[in-house]
Amino acid sequence: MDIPREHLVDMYQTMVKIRRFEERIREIYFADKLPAFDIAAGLIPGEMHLAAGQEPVAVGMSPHLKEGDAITATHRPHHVAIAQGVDLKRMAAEIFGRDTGLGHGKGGHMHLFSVEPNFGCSGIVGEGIPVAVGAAMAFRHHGSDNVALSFFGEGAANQGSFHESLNLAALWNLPVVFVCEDNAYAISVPKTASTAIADNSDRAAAYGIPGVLVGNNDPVAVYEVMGEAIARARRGEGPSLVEIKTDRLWGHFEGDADAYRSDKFKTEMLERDPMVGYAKRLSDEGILNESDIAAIQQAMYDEVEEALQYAQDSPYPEPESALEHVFAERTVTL
Amino acid sequence: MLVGLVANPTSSKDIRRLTTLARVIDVEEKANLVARLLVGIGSEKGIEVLGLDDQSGLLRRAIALAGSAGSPVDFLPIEVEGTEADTRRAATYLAKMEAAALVTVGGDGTVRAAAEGWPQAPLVPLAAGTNNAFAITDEPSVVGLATALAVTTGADAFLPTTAIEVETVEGRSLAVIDVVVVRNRWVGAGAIWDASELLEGLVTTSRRTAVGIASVSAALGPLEQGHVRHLRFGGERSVRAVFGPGLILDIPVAGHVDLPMGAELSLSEENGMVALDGERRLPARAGLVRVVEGPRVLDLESALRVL
Amino acid sequence: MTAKTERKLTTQKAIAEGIALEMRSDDSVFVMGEDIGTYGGIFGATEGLLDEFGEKRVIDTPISETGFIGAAVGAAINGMRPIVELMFVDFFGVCMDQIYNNMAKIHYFSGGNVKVPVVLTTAVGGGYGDAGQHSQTLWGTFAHMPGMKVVVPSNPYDAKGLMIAAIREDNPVVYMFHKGVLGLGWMTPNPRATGEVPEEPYEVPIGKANVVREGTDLTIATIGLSVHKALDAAEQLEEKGISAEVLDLRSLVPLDREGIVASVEKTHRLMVVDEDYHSFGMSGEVITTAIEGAFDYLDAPPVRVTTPDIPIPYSRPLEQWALPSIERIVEASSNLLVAG
Repeated sequence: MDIPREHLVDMYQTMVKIRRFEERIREIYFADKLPAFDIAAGLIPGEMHLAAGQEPVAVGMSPHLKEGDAITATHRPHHVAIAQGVDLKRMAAEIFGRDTGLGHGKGGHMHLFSVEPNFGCSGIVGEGIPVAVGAAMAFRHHGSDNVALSFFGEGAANQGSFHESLNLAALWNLPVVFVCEDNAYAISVPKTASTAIADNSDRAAAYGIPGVLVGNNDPVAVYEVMGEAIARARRGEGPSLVEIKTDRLWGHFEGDADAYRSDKFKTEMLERDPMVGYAKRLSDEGILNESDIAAIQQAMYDEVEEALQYAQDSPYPEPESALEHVFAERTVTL
Repeated sequence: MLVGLVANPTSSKDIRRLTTLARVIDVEEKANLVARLLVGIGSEKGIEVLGLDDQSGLLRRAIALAGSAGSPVDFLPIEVEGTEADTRRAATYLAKMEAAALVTVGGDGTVRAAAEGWPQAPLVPLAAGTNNAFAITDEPSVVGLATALAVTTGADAFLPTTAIEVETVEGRSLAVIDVVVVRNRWVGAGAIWDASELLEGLVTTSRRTAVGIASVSAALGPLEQGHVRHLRFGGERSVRAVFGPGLILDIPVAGHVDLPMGAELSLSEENGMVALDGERRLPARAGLVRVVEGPRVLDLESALRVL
Repeated sequence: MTAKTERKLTTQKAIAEGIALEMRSDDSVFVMGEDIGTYGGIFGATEGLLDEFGEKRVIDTPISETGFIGAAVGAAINGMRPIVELMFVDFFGVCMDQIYNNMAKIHYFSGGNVKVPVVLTTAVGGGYGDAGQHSQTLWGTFAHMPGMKVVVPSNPYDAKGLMIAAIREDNPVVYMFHKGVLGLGWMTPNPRATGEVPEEPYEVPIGKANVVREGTDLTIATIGLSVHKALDAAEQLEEKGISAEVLDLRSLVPLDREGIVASVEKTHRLMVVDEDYHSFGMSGEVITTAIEGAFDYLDAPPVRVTTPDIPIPYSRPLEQWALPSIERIVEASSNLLVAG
């Protein structure tokens, strides 16, 4: 089982795209809010939760996905959406509140919904977990071998919806993979202060499903574990819980002073930046050389810029369109 | 008398949960094991336990659980990173302190890391891992008592083992049970569960009840003390082995030869990874292996005979 | 209303029949909730369904409202049409996030791209001594939040028609059935809980009120069990020479504001009977609708007969005093006629 080169390179490429996207969103977010930070001002108003450092958690699943697989994610969704292949232009436009956005500007950064690929996220902690269970129910009903994945943080693992969802998925043997991104902090509260046990992967045993811990932020380790978990679910062998220790390089939200994490902690995180480590290993293994890496970076930077430009050039929705899309029109009449 | 204690909170939680019927031993369960061990040790006076703290609070939970019945425990003055390097550094420190015993709690990987830090350690490897080919699976309070007796009575209840030293471009490492070269070039999730990846291997034991590569070796016949068996995988002939928990496979073995203490061998495979004690670790390029003395391991029966 | 047969059903059986008809014609419809399978629903709303459709489509769940209502949302997004039961509306506290923040908003957040065709059925209402956590109506709370339709049938014919319409809606519909209108054998007998119900599938439009009794002197706008009480009160008022028009709202979202205004334009006096809590709810909304749309037509300030802002008490004299009663409706109507 040697890992196909294509998968290794695709994962790196996607990681570069994610990191670049997050960096550029961060720049744009702050650009017109300073000098005195006004959260309502600028091209991207409101809160912004970026996933720099958490790229490996998302890209490890990508080579194993197939069309129709459903993913639910959190208030920090960009890396997962990009890894699943959500349209980058429409995603950027939605973040910028434009009419060309995924939701015509109605959802924004925490409420990104895509039909193809099948992606949704939520601003309420733990809200998407049962939704993945429901998607899996639909897949089973239709007899497909699609899988549902639910991404949530280690903070969400203390929310009732997490426990109810694992029990339901286990009880009904549903094709769900529950992915816990452990970045050690729920806003400012460290896991040691929120969770009675050491590892959330251990909670799987309480529901009779396998729980696996990926103890480092390594895309290849995530790739292998997600591959097994997804394959298992597709074979009809039921749900599993994958806990991945990852790093949230920046604050909880953009503008977060992040004073609750020590400088030492932050320095150590930067030292193990997965972008650097993975690039080095790919280079050491002779999979990518310097010019390959530069070419990938350039291509991904260009793609991100194109998406951001598309967003900035797109029109805002008409104000009265706020009244639209509360309800759907009937498509079937008696 | 000084006894070192290194308990690994992350053993038996890896991908083998999905690929085999490997069970979970959660941190709370391990804390319970360690607490029973501490009670065993605590039944003899005059023993100081120096333990490695960990990021999961495993040792602290165990200390709280054992209460006053458990031996008092101090923490090693070592910075904890949450990787196996912690185990290695702890073992090296305890070697310098001339600890009378080093108790490890975890799987074969934990033992290996400890042995790497202290190659001739007087080991008490308590089992809490997926494959426990090396570790002791007896009741921890018995093991604790035996350890206490072994270090206080002065009788040498530790038996010699054989280990494999591995030298690659990345430096020197030690394996206490097996060294396997696999086709996969990535460390990834670490564990091995796909038998088609196996290229060649070396095993230090032919205990018939062992799980993993050791099970393959056992099928080929007994192994003399102080020897290591070299296996070449592939070919027509297969042996049935218990490759993992609930995973019984027919493994093709092209040939094997037993190597004596001190023997050296070049690994023939250029492209692949060297897995040490069941975990992928080093690139196989320019690999050289050597049969060496391993850690000494506590013989429970002989330690308890003192009672 | 076109009755094609003389067959009569209780409201409870009419609901179950509506669900069964849709489940027969559309394989994507399925039912889940606590005790909705083997038991047929605590209030019989799903009676007979497990036998006919089996446990893959009629699913008894653990007590995990957030879990299974969230799952209904996920299933609906992915091509199914779930009917999910929240056993008592009073239990919404444990799962409201999935209802009002998730189910009700996904269509909007997705700019209309994602549809969530969930029917959330739930039992509402008191008057039989089930005390403060099992007797509420709470339609004001659900109607207040954008993104979900709210229907409250009062009789068997509407119950079946609204259920079929709700299932065929591509939107979340909160279908609230008042326990007192179901015609359950173990509740106080209620003759208005049985009525003629056509056997074939038919719809009652969501968002349209129904004048269930024509009148000229005042409009009694109401919903659920209070419709029965209003009809009983209207009979008594008739003997006193007062002609009351009873307007069964049937839906709260969308609210038939035109229907309310039309009736008030005709009768010039409005009373709202609302079993939900007095303040900040349905009664205030209906009255404001009348004021906004028919101010010049009103001969007197509108009045309301409601449940006061108190937890619903257990003891019979307390509960019967608190909930809207025929007596209070008659008295308030008489007063309304002499006011202004």
